[in-house]
Amino acid sequence: MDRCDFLFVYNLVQDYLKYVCLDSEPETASNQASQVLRKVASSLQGEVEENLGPYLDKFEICSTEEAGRVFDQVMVNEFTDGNTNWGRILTIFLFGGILAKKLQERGVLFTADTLKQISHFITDYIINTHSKWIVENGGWDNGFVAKFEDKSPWLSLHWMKTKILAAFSFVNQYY
Amino acid sequence: MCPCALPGRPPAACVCTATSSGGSGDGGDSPARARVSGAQLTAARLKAIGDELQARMAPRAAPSRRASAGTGLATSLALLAALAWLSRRGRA
Repeated sequence: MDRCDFLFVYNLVQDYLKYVCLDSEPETASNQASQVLRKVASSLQGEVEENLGPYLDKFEICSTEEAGRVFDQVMVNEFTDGNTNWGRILTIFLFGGILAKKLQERGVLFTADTLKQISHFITDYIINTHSKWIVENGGWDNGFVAKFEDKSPWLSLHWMKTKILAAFSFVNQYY
Repeated sequence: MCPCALPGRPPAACVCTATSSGGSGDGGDSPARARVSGAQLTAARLKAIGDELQARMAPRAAPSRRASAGTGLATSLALLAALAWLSRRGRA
């Protein structure tokens, strides 16, 4: 689907932030894009956080407003060369997650309202700046999911093994 | 640490150099300036990470088609072998 509407992206952002910031058992992802985002971005989150640590220390992030300002400043600089790709789109979520965690570390309570505000400024940025590119590049399902979903050889082997076993048991019923 | 020293494609211009050279004449390390340079460095790092991720995932399209063709062939062969074995067992 080529959708890039506000609500879809807002839910995607909110689901990811909840996933990385809340300790409680996560709900099942509501769509494939959320599922892939959770898996890929959260696996990179720690590494990127560590990488950005020295730079992030330069910011005084003590409120969601300040986090929004820092987010905008960084995003403007990241995409200033006019190039967009799915890797960079992924970093928008990663950076959003990092800022949300930073706020938590600074003692800002991660309430529903905080989550709403952070999700809002991230979604605003994605919709206002990259929605055209996202739609032109297959949308979330045919672009993002296709790019990052797990197609590892292990899965192929696992799939093959399952199919062969199923075929064996099917044929075995008649002999 | 300079983000330009990342593996893969470096950012077009090194923001570290730009920041340090620009900061010499205008009163240097004010919090606002530090924030701007922080934003530039963070952005450069994120850009490099994003581009690296993009490049890392790019070659997957071609091999995955080859891999799926190979998987299909292997599955067919395994199924044929299974059928042959079962038909021999049936005759015995």
